[in-house]
Amino acid sequence: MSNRAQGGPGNGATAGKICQFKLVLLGESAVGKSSLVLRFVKGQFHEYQESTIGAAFLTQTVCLDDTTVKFEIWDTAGQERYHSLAPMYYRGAQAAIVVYDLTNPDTFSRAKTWVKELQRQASPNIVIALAGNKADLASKRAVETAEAQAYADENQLLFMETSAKTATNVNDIFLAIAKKLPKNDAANQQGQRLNVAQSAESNQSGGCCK
Amino acid sequence: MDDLPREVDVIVLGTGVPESIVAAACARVGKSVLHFDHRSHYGSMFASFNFHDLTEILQTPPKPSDGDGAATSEDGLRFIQSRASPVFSNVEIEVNEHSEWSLEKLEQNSRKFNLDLAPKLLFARGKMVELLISSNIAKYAEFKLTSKILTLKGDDIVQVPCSRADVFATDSVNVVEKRALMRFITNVLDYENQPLFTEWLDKPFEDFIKLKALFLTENLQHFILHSIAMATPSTTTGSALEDARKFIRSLGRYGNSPFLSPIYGCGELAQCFCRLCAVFGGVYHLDRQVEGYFVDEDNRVRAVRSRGETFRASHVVINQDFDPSHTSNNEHISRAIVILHQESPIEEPGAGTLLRVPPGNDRPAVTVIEQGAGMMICPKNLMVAHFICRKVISAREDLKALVEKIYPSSKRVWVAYFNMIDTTMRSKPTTDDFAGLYLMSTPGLQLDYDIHIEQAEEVFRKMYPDEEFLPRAPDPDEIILDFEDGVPQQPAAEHQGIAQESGDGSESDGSGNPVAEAEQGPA
Repeated sequence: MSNRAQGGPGNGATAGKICQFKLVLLGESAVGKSSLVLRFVKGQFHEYQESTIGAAFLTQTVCLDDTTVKFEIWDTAGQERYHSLAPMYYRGAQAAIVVYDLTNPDTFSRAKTWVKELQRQASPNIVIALAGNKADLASKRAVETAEAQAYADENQLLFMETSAKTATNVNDIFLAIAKKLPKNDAANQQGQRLNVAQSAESNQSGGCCK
Repeated sequence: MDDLPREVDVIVLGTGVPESIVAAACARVGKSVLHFDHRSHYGSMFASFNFHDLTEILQTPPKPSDGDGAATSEDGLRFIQSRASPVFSNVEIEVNEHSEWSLEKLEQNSRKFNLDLAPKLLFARGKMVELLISSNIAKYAEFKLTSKILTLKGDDIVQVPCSRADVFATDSVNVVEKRALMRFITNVLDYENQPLFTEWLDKPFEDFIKLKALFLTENLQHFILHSIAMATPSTTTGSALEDARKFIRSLGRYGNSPFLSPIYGCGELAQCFCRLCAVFGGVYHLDRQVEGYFVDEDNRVRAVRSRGETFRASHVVINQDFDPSHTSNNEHISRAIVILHQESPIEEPGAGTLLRVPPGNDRPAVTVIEQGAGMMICPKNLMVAHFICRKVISAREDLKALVEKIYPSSKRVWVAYFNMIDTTMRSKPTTDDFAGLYLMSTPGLQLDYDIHIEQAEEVFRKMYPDEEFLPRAPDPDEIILDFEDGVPQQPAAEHQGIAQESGDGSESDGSGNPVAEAEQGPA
């Protein structure tokens, strides 16, 4: 519905494989996490972005050669604000974008804390990208590109400086993640995990042991 | 920096399952919610912990309310102090010195553990599963099916045949028994129409299943009584048949087991509802002390005092950690958490095993839930067994003999015995003393969350009798973020109407762009 993304993101499936991934956004309040998602998913930007009410996650697809990568993008719902983000949020995530505001060095050190948390708690194969957002405010820059790049290299993170406002590198960072995600069947299958809602539907007739 | 809203519709204190459900239900229909916990983790007594934190929480005495930030009165309101009752007692930890899994190694692997304070299993057709589906948040967590249901019969652990497939595959019942069991199971599904069954509804189930007309051998009676109906000697036929029917109906919904459990531990469930609440604008602050309440002359709670700040609300929902009446006549449950060394891990172990141990000499019925690394609750090569029963003497006295009977000392790595308070026997979710204050239950002994969901719904209905309880949350493709000149199309305080499958979309204004970017109330 109302898929207005421009550039990289594709509009649904072409022939070929479809892989679905859970991607979570992490970072301090007001670094522009929701803005990045809205820019990527809807092609929109709002100067006074408030937290997104009612959206548990948004979806967007990216086409790579013969593969369609469908991102389920989960936002923090504001729970990070008083350091109260539920760990459940990043369970099972195959990708994460850790966002900081390049005009605010505190948000960069907080981003490093999130990277550490993901390395300890999230699945070992998670693809992590570091996004230095608000690149349009170059005059107020407080975190140098070289410093962030060095940190990202050290920790094997993808790294880009982005601007949700001007759309700089927004599609690119999602595309880079899509490229790095393993797309073999084994990586994308759920094992014995249940899709509780789906199995329920297919079983709705209620026949169990009759 | 603290820009928390100072006046909201609902304040929720504690993040256990029932209070988190109420929080989600309120936010879901557009009420402003402020949710605090004095602990730094989600879940209260329903939480799961890594190894280090579990050891710490069991051994740290509750912080006495030191009267810091206590107030006298404000705007003619009287101040009532919140008093946390101690949650754990009789904590005893045994470490196997000979195990290759030393305490140090357990600590090093601490974060691979998710140890439940209140382990439970979800009936595939129980209220929790139904609520996760109907509110559309089943996706927040991941689940696996329990692989086996066992019972202790004499000294032997035997598998309970419960599905048709099990009944035919098992050799623990003979051919004649198979037929009798299948007939019984079929009749239970439709027991209201069986005169033989209905005339016994008020009488003990234990006597009922001995009826000659049912042809149930002693063997079958054991399975039915202790595993399928999970009845005690006092259970009436009516309530046992309800339970048995829930068990039988749950079979086959997702596979050949009636139960599922969340990966990463049961602590995930409370977090699911907290996330739902946050997604609909609820504001979260963990690790936040609460000093007490302000009540008016009619003993109605008007505000909460936290870190010296006053937060006004129409309703306050709390758990036992914040109980101002300090009820002391609590029941307790006995728990053991046993970490086991599993030499050769079973491939794809599923969601583990449920063992029901019938009551024995001086020992009440015990539930044992055993899970492995496949549930993301412990490192590879280890297993975790949870023991739960009603407290008689102390956790260790009640459970030690059984723990050691089931698991030889060579397998045991670490055992913690402890008692936990149980308030599920209290009749009312409201405190007797104060209006507008709702006290939610602890986990209790029950296998599933039915009583907690019933209680959450009851409290929500008391607060908002005209609102729907947890209507389905929208899927992402039903959400339209639509802006004209950067202004939300619909004020956030309105209901977040969704494309309803049930068709009762009367609550929304029909503008068709329900979920708006919001300037959600509080700030």
